Parts: sequence; C-alpha cells; structure tokens
Amino acid sequence: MIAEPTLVRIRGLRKSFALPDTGGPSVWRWAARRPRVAAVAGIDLDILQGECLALVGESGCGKTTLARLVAGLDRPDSGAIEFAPLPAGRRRAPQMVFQDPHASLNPRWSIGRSLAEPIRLGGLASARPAIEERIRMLLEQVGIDPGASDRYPHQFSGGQRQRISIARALAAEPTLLICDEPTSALDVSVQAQILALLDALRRERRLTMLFISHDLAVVRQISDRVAVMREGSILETGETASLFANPAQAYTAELLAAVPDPFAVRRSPASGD
Amino acid sequence: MPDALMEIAGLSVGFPSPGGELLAVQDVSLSLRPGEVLGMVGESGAGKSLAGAALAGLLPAPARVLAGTLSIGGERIDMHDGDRMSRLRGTTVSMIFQDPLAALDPLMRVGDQLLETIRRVRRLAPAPARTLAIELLASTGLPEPETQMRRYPHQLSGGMRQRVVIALAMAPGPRILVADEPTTALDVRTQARILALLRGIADEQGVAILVISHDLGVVAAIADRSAVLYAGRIVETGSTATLVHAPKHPYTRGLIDSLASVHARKALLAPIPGSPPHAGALPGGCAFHPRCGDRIERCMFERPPLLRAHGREIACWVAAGDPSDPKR
Repeated sequence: MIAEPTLVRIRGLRKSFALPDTGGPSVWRWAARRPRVAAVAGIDLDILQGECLALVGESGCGKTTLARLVAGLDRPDSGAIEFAPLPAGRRRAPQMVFQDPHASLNPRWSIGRSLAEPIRLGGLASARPAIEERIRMLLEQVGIDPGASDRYPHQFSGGQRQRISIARALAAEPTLLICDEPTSALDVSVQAQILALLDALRRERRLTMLFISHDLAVVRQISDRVAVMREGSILETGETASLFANPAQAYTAELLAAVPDPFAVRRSPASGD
Repeated sequence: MPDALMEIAGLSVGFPSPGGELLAVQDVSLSLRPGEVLGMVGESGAGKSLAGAALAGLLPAPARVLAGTLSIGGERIDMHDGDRMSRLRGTTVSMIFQDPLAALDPLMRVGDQLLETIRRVRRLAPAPARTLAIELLASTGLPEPETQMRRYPHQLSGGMRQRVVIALAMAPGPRILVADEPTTALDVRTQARILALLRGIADEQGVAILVISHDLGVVAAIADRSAVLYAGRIVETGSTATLVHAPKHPYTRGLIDSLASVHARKALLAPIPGSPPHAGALPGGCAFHPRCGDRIERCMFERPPLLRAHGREIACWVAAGDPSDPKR
C-alpha cells in the first residue's frame, strides 16, 4: 500500500540490454551470451502526487530507459513500479510526450484522429459529438485552433506539433504525464512557450509530471524536485532549488558548473561600449 | 575597422525557387580581429549556418552567394568566386560542424585522415607529418594521442571525435575558424571542455573564431562580441555581455527573457509569441514586427537599417531612435 502523497513507488528497478551484434565471433550471436549493459541498475524512487520531478543526467545515464519503464513502454527485468490507488475512475495509464515533434504523430492521420484514439481507448467518450467536443477543448487548451482537427501533422510547425502531442497525452486524462526532452528539439523562443504551457496545464489539471532533460536551466525552471542519474543509478534526489544551490555529490556540482549560462557572462570594461 | 583580420561586407545568400529567389541571408556584414571570438546567434531559419558556410566556401547547392565581398589580409575577394573561396578553405579558413561523424571518414583511421590533410597543406615528409599529427591531437587535449591515431571514428566518444575534427581544422594553420554548433551534440561537461579548447585556440594562437549557435549560453561562454540574426538579417550586434544584460532590440530582449536560468526559477518565462518566419514568407517592413510588442506603424512598411546606437548596432525604429536615452 502506498501512502499519500506518493503516486508512484519504484523499488529495485533493473533493466539491461544486450549489446548490439557487431559481427564478432559467431558465439556472441546467441543473445543469451551477448554482453549486456545495465541501463537501469537498481533504482528506488518515489514520485509524489502533483509534483514535477525531473530526471537529469548525461547521455547514456538511463533516464530515458527509466521513463519508458514507468510509462509501461518497456518491461523491467526485475523490481517493481507501484501506482497508488486513486478515487475510482481517476487512475489511468501514464502518458508520454516525446522529444521529436516530427516523429511522434502519425503523419497519415489527421490530428483529430490522433486525439480521438486515446479518448475512445480510455473509455472517456464513444459518441462522435462527445469525442469531437473533447478534441476541440483539448486543442484550445494547448493553444491550437480548435477548427484545425482535420489538418495533418505536416501542416503544423514543430512547436505546434509538440502542443498537439501534449494534447494527445492529456486526452487520455492521465494522472502522470511523462515528458522526455519535450523542448530539446525546438527553437529557443518556442521552448519557452511549451514550458509555460506544461506548467499551466499541470497546475490546472493537478497532474503529476516526470520530466526528463539534459538541460539543467529548463529543469530549474519547471521542476519541484530533481533526481540526478549516472550510469543507471540515482546519485541524489532533492528539491531542485536547494539541490542546485548545494549539491551533495561532486558529479552534480560538475554538471552545474559546466552549464553554459548566458547570464554568467561578465561585463568586460575593455568591450568598447 | 582598424586591424581587422577579416571583413565581410554585404553578404547575401539565396535559393532559386519557382516563385523567384528566396533570400536566406541578406546584407550581412561582419568583421573579425585576430584572436577574437565572434558569436552569431539565431534560431533555425535565421540564416546563420548559411552565412558561416558562405564564408568557408561551403554553401550546399542550390544555395548560392548573391552578393558579398570578403576582405582578408589586405586582399579583396568577391564571394561569388567559388574557386577563390575554395582555395581559402582548408588553408586560411577552416570550418567545423555539429556532427563530428559527418566530417570524419568512417573507414579511415583517425591518424590517417589527419596525415592526409597535413601532407596536402604542409608538404611534409612522413615522419615530421606524423609528429605534427600527434602534436595537433595533443593540443586539443586528446589523451594518449599516439594510441588514438590508430582508432576509427566509431571507437571514439563524441567529445573525442570533436577534438579530432578540431585538430583536422587546425592542421593547415588557419587564421579563421568557423564553428557551426560545435557543441550541440555533446554532453554538458564535454561541451564546456570543447568551448574552453576553442577559446584557448583563439587566445593562444590568435585564430579568429566565428561561433554560430542557437544557444546563447554557448556564445556567451566564449564570444567577445555577438551578432543576432533574424530572418536572414543582423538585428543587433555588440559585446556579448551587453547583449545579454541590456538587450535593446525587441527580438534580442525576447530571446533573453525567454531563457531559463540554472540559478533561479523565473516568475515569468516570457515567450515570444508566434514563430520565426520562413525565407519564402517574410513579413513586409521589419521582419520581426508581427511578433513585436513595441511595434509602431512604420515597422510594418519600412525595414529599419542597422544603425549605431547605445554603443552597438541595432536595426529597430523604436530601439535605435530612443531620444530619452542619454547614451544614444
């Protein structure tokens, strides 16, 4: 039994992958004998209700693998992911927003169709008018013209497609929204729009968010707590503001020190201004 | 500009299209001094990569130079002249890109690629060429350079590959290095090290570097001065510190205001509404006016020229012409 305020309790989670077949000696082609890499090497983590928890780390640290495990897109080798029981009808599968806005929407479906699917599959509505009404409301909430549901993904910009992906994720009315680098592929001015949207939606809908990012500035802006990952393990977890101000781990301090921060540039007297 | 190593004047780059020429870069002028790092900032479609490629004589077809002269070491070159621009590249001007794998031959050992370049531009015998190759790798901070010579690109990490690419670019002893998103594909700690490496090359060897990036943090880390590009034109230039702390052009201000900071959560991360225009659909007057909260009527019909104001250059009717500012 998970007690409030935890929404998701993760214990002892492990997932490894076989290294790809690089054409070595034939004995290695037997999957069972191929060397494996532990992408997630024994993770314990709590995700609290209503919070935005960020997962940060460098490439290969396992943050995306962990996100996919929580989303149910992959199965762990061992360990448990437990969801708290919620009032009847509220508990719905976690939904995910991915990094690449150009690859996450079916190019051959109108955006209306992409939004209708989770509504129907989630049992939220079945009659056409009810579905269409939900689609209109979702599009409006993410800042897309509600009359555009007949259009196709290629008719929208990257930022707009990301908004549509968010709408699709929300269509199923999840309690947990998992965002994997949702703004990394977007222009700077559009990133801010998407972050503001995610923040507003989270508060309005009292969503819980798991936010994966390599960008520590974005994490500082949007998350309440942060978990720092390295090589499949969590090094430290804490409130974002205090963890960033006083990291316990040297690795975290290195990451923070390495962030190319535009606001850290100093005025130089010899600049000629 | 006195003692400038290099000046580009009036660079314009276009693409032929069914409806006429699409202008991707318009009337861009830049100057670089030895040892200076100039940043060129802009979002996708702003034309910054094409401007850098034009300088290195590497414009991908069908893009082409429509206008522009390059003055370098006292020589004036018409940037239309593909042959002369090609001769500059790989000797005086070198370029590095975001993806090191694209610059490296996957089938050649790293050392052999370096030797091939060295022997082409330096005409050294094998033994001194090899010594130089190892020195070049070592100068980029690559550990165990003699061992790395025998490796293939896929055997190296992203940061190591980018160091190899930098060594290749430095092999001819260029005076100018164009770096287009040199660290975008790298992890944050590696990024910091590569940026420090580039800054070191400028400081210690007097190489002028043009660093192109959408990431203001990257540019602020190493560029003394920066130019902000929007829809193919420069809208503001100045010292990087001034652009970050006291931006004047509404677009630059919008970019700075929309940036998150690792030090504190901003109460309002104010995004710029809308998105950057495509070359084929540029608004009339000032290209930024549809997204600009400061616009006046003139902005919709008349494009503002790049003018000297507030100790920098700004292309904005409202910002450049502020009569109440004593610094004007």
